[in-house]
Amino acid sequence: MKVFITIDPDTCVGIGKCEEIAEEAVELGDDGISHVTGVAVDMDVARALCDGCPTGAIAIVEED
Amino acid sequence: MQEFLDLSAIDIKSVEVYEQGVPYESFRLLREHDPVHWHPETAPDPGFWAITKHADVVAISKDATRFSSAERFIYYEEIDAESMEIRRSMIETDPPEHTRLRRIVSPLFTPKTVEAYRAYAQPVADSLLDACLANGEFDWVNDVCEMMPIRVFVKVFGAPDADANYLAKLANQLVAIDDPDLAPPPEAYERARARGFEPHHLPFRSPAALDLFDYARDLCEARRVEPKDDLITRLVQAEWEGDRLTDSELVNFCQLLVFAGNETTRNSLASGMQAFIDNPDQLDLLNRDRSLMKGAIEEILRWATPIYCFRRTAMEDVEVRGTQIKKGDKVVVYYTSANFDEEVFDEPERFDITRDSSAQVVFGGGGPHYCLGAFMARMQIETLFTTVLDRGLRLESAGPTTRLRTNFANGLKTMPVRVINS
Repeated sequence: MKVFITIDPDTCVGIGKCEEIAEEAVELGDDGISHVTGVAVDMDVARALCDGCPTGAIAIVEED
Repeated sequence: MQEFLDLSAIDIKSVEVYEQGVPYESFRLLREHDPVHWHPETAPDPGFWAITKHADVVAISKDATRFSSAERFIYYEEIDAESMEIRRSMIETDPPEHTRLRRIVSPLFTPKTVEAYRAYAQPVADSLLDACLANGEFDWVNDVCEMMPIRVFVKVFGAPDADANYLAKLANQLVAIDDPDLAPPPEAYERARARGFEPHHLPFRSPAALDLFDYARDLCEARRVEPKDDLITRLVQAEWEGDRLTDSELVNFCQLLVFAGNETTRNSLASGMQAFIDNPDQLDLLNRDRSLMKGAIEEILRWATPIYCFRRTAMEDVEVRGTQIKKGDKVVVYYTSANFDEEVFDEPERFDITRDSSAQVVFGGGGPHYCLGAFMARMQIETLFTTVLDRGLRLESAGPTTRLRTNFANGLKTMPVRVINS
């Protein structure tokens, strides 16, 4: 199952771990924080993103 | 008869201990027998909880609400309100204040920005190695590691190249107040006192911080008048939602950069080469298969762990691994121990560039304070060791290494080496 993720802009501080985990799904912007690209990812990748975010800024939005 | 294990004798704080070597065995004993260990201190210091398991270091690092960096700062020392006012940098704030500062500076350290800094790092690595190779025998720490990050830093920062040596000296004096070889001279303390600053008023209790403040203030002022394409200009102009860095935040941030951007990278480059000298098969392996570089960098970082620990302060009563920690208690998270936790790293005492070291906590255990310069550090490690490999440079030890006398930064002072094949 593919899911979408969200990044809370008030919690993200632009560490960039997410881009290392799934560069198709997130991009560290010139503004210094990460943004979703809008690409859906596998559930295990999404979970890795949530667990891997040092500030806990990433959440899963379930979609079919 | 069961052997009685006296953990109360364990000392993981004294500078004398670290000068001799990282107390890996003490950490191992604590991880195994008392992972949330009450470590006494000499009065009036209150003692602290030593956190030595990887999972706990990570959990506490991520929990900035219950484990504060702002409350009593991040070092062993107890600090008064007046000193906090003068010394506070981003690293000694909690969200949301931390988020504000971090958002102002984080665009300056993204992977894309850092990639552009590679153009500064490569010629620095080349020129340092050229000079050393001409000698045949040299000091890896003093001749290469000490100079590489600071020379890259002055380029990025926008300071004159000629100031690299001065800034390197101040960076040393910041972390080495307890080391007779590198400590600031008595007159530096006198100068600070004459201006009303006792050592405890200053970052790292070092008068070198005052010199760094002065240096940064002058450079910021110059860029306000005449902006250039450099980091200092971007810091002066940096803005997030209409907010800018105050003067105190600016100079403290510059001080933080000089320390965090230099000492840590320098010590990683030093420990990394020591690891390759002790394990030449690993350097050969990396040379044969350069695709291992990314993993090798993480293993070098794990091995080096340039910062032993940071302190947090419990903001409420909290239980960690079944042990009750009280509100206000000092809690010290040991990255060095976490990076050698057998539960996460199989045979941790083995330097192995092929292992998965991605769980290393060199840049902090996660949480908002994750190192701002992580990409910068990795880029410099990659640049230097790639250059070493490209030149077919092989080194051997030419004498004993000496260690920095501090309980904070895992630093080598000297590392005599000889070229064996180039």
